[in-house]
Amino acid sequence: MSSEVLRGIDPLGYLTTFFREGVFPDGRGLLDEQKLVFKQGECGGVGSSVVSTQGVTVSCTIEASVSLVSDGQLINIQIEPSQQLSEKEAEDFNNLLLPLFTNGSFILRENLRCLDVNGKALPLEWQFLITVKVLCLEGNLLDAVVCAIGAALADTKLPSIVLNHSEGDESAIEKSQIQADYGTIHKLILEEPLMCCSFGVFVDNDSKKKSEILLMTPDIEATSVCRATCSVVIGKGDRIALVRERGRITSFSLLKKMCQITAERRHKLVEALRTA
Amino acid sequence: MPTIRSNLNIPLTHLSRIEDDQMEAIEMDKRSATTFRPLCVKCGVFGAQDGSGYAEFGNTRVLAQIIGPDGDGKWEEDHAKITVTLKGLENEKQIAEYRAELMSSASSVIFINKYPGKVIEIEVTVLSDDGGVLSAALSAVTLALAHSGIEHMGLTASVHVGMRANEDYITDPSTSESADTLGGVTFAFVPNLSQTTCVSLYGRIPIEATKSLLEFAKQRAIAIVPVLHKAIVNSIKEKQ
Repeated sequence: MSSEVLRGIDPLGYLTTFFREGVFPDGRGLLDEQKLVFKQGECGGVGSSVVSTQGVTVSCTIEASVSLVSDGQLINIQIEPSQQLSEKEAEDFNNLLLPLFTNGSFILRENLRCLDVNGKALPLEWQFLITVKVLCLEGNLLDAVVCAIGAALADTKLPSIVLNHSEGDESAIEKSQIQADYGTIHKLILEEPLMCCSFGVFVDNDSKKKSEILLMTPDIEATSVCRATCSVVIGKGDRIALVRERGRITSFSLLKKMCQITAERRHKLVEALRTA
Repeated sequence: MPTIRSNLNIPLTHLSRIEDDQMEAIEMDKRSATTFRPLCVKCGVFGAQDGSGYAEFGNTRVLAQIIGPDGDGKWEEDHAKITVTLKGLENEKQIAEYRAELMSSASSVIFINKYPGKVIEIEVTVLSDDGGVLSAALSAVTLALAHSGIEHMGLTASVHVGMRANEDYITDPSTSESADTLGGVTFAFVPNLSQTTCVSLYGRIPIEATKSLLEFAKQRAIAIVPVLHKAIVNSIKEKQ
């Protein structure tokens, strides 16, 4: 029987053979990292990025608008549904990512104030609409989206704002009193980059111990035979920003290992960005 | 805790700008009538799957992906069904218009009779729009089609040409360059058949100027063919 036939009729048996040997069918080690490629400033808006990793390619565009200082939500995320991503799944991801902004993991709220030419904060704030388009989805979306948002925010360049409204003037600020000056551009002050890694937990039922095998960034085929999947987002100071678990993980040590691997990967990214 | 809400929300693009030196420098940098904006085309964007193309003309960037031919369990006709999805544009009317043009252009070159009962889905994503989206989308689709291996009659070369009031032409105008044009045309042409697959005229083009405008557009479309060929050859080399 050829391996391709076995793969079609018994994917579990086919993949188990590889996982027992500690590799994916493509020869990658079970905990080996995959290449992450990103490009900034290609998709319009005030900041944008295209990220490709683990068979997933997404583009992220940030559109900015100016509003008066308020305690309303300043950042809105919109993951556009596609043929490979249903509307409901897209909405789930939107809801999942929003807390990363409200808890200041990407950027602190005070760093969203509009600045004048001299860098002085004005009584105006930037509001961002972050649009993520899924161009190719052959793996885990969250890893690519977190990276794409981070890269797009790092690419964001905002003009200075000229406000023709004196401080003592109690009348409402009008649109005509606000002007953008592209002669002086400000970059955003961001928190340290976040890293998201997705894992699969595969249970080898045929072995005596029924051991749990951890798979890093499994593809769709490998994910389909996993008992659980887990995405971990780690931020500044190795703090856990988000954990999204689907299925059943019985061992705490596995969760700890996932966090450690993600933290190590984040350190590598930070180091790479520092030396670049 | 008191809640402060604000109704003032002005998109950055709607704010008036204080002109700076850089802006003036950009305006000084005029192109000749026959020159395209800086362009980049790629056949095969994602390593994992077949059937993708990318076209970038200035700041207009479009990605096309082809999914199929696959059976959907419903379509049972003796020819393939072609569907087009267009994402990344906000104007519904524009989406409907461009979809129809893309569908018509793609349907006219694909050998649909060779894929009975199959569905070919063309997904076009506009990453950024700075004028000439339809032309860029047609280029991306033809590259995706070449990359997909779906049998078709030949490469489609497309171009967007604007016409000024003094009857001067401008090849591949950006949104700001289109501001002083009377109108224009998006023209798609299959060079090996010498047939046109898309003529989308807009604006107020005098009837007597139409023929020369289309002839100019055809010449510009032919000029872009070597670039498309090169992208396809590169993708084949990469595959090998």
